[in-house]
Amino acid sequence: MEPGTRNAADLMRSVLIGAMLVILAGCASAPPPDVIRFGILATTDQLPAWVMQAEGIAARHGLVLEESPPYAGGLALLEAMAADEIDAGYPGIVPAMALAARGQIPSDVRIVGLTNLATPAARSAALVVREDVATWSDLAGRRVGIHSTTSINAASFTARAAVEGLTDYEFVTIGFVDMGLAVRDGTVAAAVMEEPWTTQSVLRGDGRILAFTQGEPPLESMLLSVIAVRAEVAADDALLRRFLRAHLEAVQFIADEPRRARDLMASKLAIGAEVAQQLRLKAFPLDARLDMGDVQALQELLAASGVEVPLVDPLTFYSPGALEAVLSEGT
Amino acid sequence: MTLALRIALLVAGAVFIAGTATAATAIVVGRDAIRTATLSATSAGAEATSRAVLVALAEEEDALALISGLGTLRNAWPTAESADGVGDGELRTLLGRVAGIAGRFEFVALLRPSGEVVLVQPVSLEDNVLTRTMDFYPWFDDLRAQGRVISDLHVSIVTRRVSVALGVTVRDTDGSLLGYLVGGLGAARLSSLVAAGAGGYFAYLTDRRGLVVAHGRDPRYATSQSDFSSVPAVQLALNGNDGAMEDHNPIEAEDRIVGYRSIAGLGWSVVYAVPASEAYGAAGPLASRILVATGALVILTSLAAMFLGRRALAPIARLAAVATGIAGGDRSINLPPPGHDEVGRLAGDFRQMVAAVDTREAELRTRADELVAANRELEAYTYSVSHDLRAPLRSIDGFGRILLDEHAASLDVEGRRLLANMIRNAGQMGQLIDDLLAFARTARGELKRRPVRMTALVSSVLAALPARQPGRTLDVTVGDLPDAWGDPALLRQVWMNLLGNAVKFTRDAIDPCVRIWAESDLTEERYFVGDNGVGFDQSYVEKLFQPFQRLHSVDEFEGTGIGLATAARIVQRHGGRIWAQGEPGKGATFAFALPRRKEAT
Repeated sequence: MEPGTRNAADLMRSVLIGAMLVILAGCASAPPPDVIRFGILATTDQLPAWVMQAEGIAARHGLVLEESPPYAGGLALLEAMAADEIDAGYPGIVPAMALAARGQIPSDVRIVGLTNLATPAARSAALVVREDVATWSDLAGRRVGIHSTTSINAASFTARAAVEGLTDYEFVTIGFVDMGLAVRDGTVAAAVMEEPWTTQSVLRGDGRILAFTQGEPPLESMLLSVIAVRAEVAADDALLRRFLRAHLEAVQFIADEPRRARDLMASKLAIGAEVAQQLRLKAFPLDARLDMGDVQALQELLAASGVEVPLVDPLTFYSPGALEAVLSEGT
Repeated sequence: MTLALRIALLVAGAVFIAGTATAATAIVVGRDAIRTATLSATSAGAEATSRAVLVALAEEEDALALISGLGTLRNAWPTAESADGVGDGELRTLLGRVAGIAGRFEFVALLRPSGEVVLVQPVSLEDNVLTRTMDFYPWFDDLRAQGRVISDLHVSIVTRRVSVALGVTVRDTDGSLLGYLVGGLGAARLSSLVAAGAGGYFAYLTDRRGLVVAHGRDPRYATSQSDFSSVPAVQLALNGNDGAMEDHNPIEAEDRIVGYRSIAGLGWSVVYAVPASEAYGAAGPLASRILVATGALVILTSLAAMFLGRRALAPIARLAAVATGIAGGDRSINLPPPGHDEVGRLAGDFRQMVAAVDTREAELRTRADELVAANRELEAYTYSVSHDLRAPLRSIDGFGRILLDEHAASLDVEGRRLLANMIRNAGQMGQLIDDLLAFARTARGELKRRPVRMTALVSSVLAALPARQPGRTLDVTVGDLPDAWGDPALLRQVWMNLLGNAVKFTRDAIDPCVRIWAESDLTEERYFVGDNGVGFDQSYVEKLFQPFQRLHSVDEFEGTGIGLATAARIVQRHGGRIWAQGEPGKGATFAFALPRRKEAT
């Protein structure tokens, strides 16, 4: 074989091998994203999850968040998670404590971070009152609408009422959604309301806000909802870390693009754009760390308010390993 | 750009404009038709929904009214004293049937005329009742005043959930008021009043305040009692108007086409809507199809126009080729056959024109041949006459000189003067004949072209001129002269004549000078002879190059008037040109141009 012919053959062989490598590289596309079945509550607490999915953050981390139909409450959500119906969610911290008291945390469910809390800059649990209620004392002997008498809202109202010198009131359980009309019609004199119902009711003229029971003295800081994942998901450290990274990015997005986040919330909660832009968001911490000292203080508050939640073991209630590892990546 | 392409582009442009205008019109008309049809459909939908809601609520109300008129109810109606004993027996069973008949009430309650709650069925809700009166509800005042009521949305003291209360009066046989029978419709029953339709259509209901009672597309707006009082269609309906319009719902952030209606006797609004995006959705594909069809039409029409244009213009193209051929001297190309259309007539006219041109050309050629022959004869005749005149003239001159030299003593003074005049005139005539012969020679014979070193030629001519003779001072400047391509003998004659004139006409100048220079370009060499002699009047410049035309008398400057004509003829025979510029008393410049070798050949 002539040298020139050999060179041509080598060149042809190289081209063919290169073409095959390109084809194989094309065939070996990225693996399909992992599906996270996310349990939804019809509250503003879910905003990071909605942002994560809608803004492509989840996709960037190889995840798809598959939203469940709304659960009635945090405990129902956690029970569904323990039953392997969902993989993750943002339940309230009190239902999480209840589940821990049953021994299902950390065996079935892990608490891996803090979703949000109330602070003086992000007050929560508004006390919406009728027009004839001007001060706390005007509520003496009257009915106050509450979502649940064993809830964190009931505890925070009780603590605040004690500070205000109000003791003789009657809790009436009413769903958040119906509280506004209940105040308006006079079924109750006041109601402890969550967003977006607070802002919707105020804009609708049902009543006015007398105070916030979370983020104001005596409870300037109050843990509200946590990041919960199914134990098997938590066992997959790489998957959990991706989920937590996506959560932190979503929280940052909410801080950077509040209008877009609120517009997204308007469509998710079927509330008007005006309500979505005016409602008060809770504080979504950028590091999502859960301080067990705050958890202990909350337990004491609940106990003082008569909310019977057994004390949780700080060593088992919170599983911070993955979050700390993710946070250390940024330092 | 060819004419066929121009026509094609013109047609394509016209079709594009017409097609685009038609497409835009079709889209606008189509959209308007969709809008009109949708407005009509939503208006009808709102009316039908309004009737359906009225019928459904009337059924519930009639069920209550039916029970309220039963003797069993009256007989079992608890007195004030027996109120504590209710909850068992016949009355509760009867109310249980009411809920069962209607099937849709969340609860049924008996009220005393004061609004006090006497009994609630199902009994499981008895403990739920917050306060045992409904007198604080605004709708209770309407019930007392009108005897019947359908309330707005409120939170029931019985269920602690959002509800709509239906109430009727219960009277004794004598017509006296026993109390009221009230049923509560919950969210599930209210939602069933409207449902989503096909094609994106849906309806929603609001109460008199604009709070959503039922929402056919997204029940969450009903369960959260969203306030739709800011929606224009709701506002219109709540003000008692019926109609249809394009609407923007700020709560749901959506543009819609809606029909709206006030529900008679109830004061509620019903809105039957379809999102504008879905209503006009059909217009999108239609517009796409129209635009695609327009684009295809433009392309096809352009191709057809180009094809037909080429065919129609083919005879003209052939005529153009023939014209080009004729211009190049080629008569072999066939003309298109004459026809009856414009192109055919043009071809016929062109054919006649070509024939006329051929005839005229033949005539001109014949005439030119005749002229050439006549000119040759004339030149031969002139040459012959001049030549033949020289011999007797030499004899006259010779005999005159002999007579003057050898016989002058026998002549008186007058005789010697006359003889001297005769000899001088004979000399002038001889010069004239020589010039005529030289002039005639310039038109005869073949040009013998070759490279001519003009600088050397000019130097040689200057040396032979009288200005170089002793006693005459003349400042002559010769620049760089490019070589020429021509007949050296004839070009020498040109220089002789021009330089001779320059020397002659600077004779009386104070500081006579002659400048010789040249200019060149790609096509020709131009040679100039300038002097500061007597000059001439520029208006007579045309006469300078004609034979025997003189601007000065012989007494002023000698000469025959042939020199410049001879120079002009030589230059013209070389394919060049000659010209002059002058001003009396300020000199003259004569110039001639010769084509460069490539041009000359």
